[in-house]
Amino acid sequence: MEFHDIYLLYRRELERVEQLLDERAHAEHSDLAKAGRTLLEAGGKRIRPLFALICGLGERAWSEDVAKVAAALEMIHMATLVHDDVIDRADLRRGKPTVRKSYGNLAAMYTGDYLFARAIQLLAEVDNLAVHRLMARGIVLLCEGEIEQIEDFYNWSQGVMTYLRRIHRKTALLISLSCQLGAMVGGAQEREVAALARFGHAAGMAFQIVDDLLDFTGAAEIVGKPVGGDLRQGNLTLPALLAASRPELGQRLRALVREGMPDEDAEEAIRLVVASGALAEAERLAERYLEKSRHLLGAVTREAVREQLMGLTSFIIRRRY
Amino acid sequence: MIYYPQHTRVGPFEGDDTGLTDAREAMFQRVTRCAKAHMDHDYLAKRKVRQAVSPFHFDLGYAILQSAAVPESEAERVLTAVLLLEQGLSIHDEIDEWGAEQQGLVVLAGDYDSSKYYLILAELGDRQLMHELCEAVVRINEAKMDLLMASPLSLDVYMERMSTIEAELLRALVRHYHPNSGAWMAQVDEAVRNHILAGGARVRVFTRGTVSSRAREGLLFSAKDAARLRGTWSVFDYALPEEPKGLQAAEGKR
Repeated sequence: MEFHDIYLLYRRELERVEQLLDERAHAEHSDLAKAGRTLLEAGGKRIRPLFALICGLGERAWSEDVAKVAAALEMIHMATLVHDDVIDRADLRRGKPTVRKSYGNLAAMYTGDYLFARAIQLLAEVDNLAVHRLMARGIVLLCEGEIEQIEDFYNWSQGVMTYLRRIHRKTALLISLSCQLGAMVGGAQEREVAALARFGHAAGMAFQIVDDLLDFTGAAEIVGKPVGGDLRQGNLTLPALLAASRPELGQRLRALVREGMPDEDAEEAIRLVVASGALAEAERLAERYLEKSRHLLGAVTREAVREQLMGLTSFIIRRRY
Repeated sequence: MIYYPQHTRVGPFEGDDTGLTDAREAMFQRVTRCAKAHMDHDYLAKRKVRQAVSPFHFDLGYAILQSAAVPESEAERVLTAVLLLEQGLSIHDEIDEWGAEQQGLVVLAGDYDSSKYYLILAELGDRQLMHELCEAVVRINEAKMDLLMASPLSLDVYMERMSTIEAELLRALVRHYHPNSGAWMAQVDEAVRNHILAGGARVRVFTRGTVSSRAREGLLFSAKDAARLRGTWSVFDYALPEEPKGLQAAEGKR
């Protein structure tokens, strides 16, 4: 099943999610409302809500609770993005000025805190305490993953396992939660909920690896941010770590990528990573996670859900932005 | 950067020079220890992103919960959560005061605190309290945006926004544990106003106009401003028709 078809299949449910986002993210304060709207209108692929809707609904009757979980997940994601832009000092996101760029760091802080509160408030309307326990633990780990990312800036001694643990926390966990909570609130059996959580983890790992690949390969005007942004910032992602493990490149790469490196060193480092063959290797790992996610879907009894999730994960690997 | 270098005791606690009662002191120690354990992260400590809890919010929060006869274990968790949330929101106010290399960690320290607040409330399982505290966070951030973006504000409006920022989490506790208690709400408002007037609230460098320059020097209001505001709200003359019992207990004596 193609991504576009899945979107069409869930068009009405996604519209309800958009409506919830619009209603709940709307602030009384006009500047806060504008900042929130900037984020909403920047759109994004709404991957997390879609995972939650598929896992929670697929062949089942409409559930407002699933839509609330889906919208809350997206709001939490938006809150992390607006704060991430302060951490990364990013001026652009998806090709548009960030809240930080338009309104300053403080406004970005308040917008993120506001959205996080609205997300939890929306979730509090769902009468299922397990949802909160899982979500809260996930957010704690997400924060720890983000702190570890900063800790590992320019740290060439970190291994691939450190990278994988980091992306598990900072990305895969929220996608896993999207599947798990969607399924749970939608009334899936415990066994299926567990399987979907594992599936979401594998799909989320593939998603982040592809994201890290796109940082090197994506056209700046499509991705909406400068090429090699992670490396310039000192964030050593899988392609860089794999390239550095090549005996002929490692030393040079380590010497180039350091705090305060000039632009020409960053450019050379990016060229070295691209030419090293590390991108293909990273892509193979993403494919393996994708295969794993498909394998895990075997435990899901609903055929339509399996097909739709497969379609969605295939898109993750093929996407170009 | 260290917050709350001193705790100015004001409002309902004015005149209480005996220090914390034993029970309150013990609770304060436990809550502080617990909150710090939650805030603690090796790398944040290594990079000197230090945090502390607000004794002012503890004092009032404790009084509110005690007068509602909230069991000790629940009160401890609720106070820990509220202090984590208060600190998580407040540290974000300081973002532009940190060096470039630490700003990201300051963002995450605040987010980490908020995540722990959510974790504690999720374990407690009180969805209604969660909802009320989230509503408080919404109002706080709207007030902060007002201070940040609005044209120079009048002193009265500035004071109102500051009161929202400092009081709203406590008001949420009142709404939850003392529904329909105008007396408690008034008591919180008065204590918070006193706290701000006495310079106990965090100085907000983003304030505009004439208040701003004084704020940067660590003094929010001139004596004249403070006198006028006292006159407006009668904060020092205020007497409740029926004083909530918890406050007496919290004060230790009256």
